Amino acid sequence: MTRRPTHFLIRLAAWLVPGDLRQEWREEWIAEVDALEAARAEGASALPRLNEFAMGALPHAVWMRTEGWTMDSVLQDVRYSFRVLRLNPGFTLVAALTLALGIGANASIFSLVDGLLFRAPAQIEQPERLVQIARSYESAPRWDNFSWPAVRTIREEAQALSGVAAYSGRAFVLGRGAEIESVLGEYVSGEFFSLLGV
Amino acid sequence: MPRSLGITSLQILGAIRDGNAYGLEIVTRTGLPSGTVYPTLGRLKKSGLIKPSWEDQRTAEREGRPRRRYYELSAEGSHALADGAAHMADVAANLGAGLVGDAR
Repeated sequence: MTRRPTHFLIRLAAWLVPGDLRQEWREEWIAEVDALEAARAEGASALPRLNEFAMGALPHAVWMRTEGWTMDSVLQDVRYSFRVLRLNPGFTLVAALTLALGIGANASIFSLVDGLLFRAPAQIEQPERLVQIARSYESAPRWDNFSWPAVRTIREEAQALSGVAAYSGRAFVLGRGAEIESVLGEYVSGEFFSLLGV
Repeated sequence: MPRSLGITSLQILGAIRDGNAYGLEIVTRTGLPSGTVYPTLGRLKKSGLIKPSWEDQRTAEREGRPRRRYYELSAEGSHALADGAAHMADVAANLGAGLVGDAR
């Protein structure tokens, strides 16, 4: 790694350091990473890695920012913020509306993703007992399908499961004449719906 | 003086016991991560146990590098290190005695 990325990281972390201490803090860290880089170039042993060493600037900068915090100083900042907001009602209104919109949009999207991706459909009887069986190979770690004979073998051999159903995605053509349309659907085995309890 | 020093603080005080050292030297001597050493140095400085000082600008310029910040023990830091080391020795001795007793 060249010197530039570590210097960049230090300059970035320096923004966290209180203004009156920032220049000296940056000067010290730049001197340290330069010293490490020079020592590594000379082949000195038992030295820390340059990237790992420079990453230490971040917790140090956070510590510099927070070490003087007390409950009184935080409360003082909160009171000051409220005073400033009261003196600028237009800005306060815009900020509050922006926040409300942002939080509302996030909550809506999360509800949608939570319902569609993270939870089983409400109609399924015991979703906590449902498992999906698939196979993967070292050369192709993505999940792969089974042949129909393999599904039958699994159904016969899987003692721990109360039932095994299979499905396979297809595009179907629906309609007649000029009103046909292509829709996505699934072929499912006979016990599919009874197994899900739908 | 702080009530009791942790092992990290003692390691760092021990690393600068023999004279001036800058941050990288302390990191190398203690084997601690830089993200631990620098905040601890800040705390030790605030407690008055170490004294930081900037290297002379001309020395750094002569060697073609930025000036370094060196740390050294204050008198209070030397006492704290001695007390802390004695306390750690007691703890280690008690631990050892307990372990031997358990083994029997």
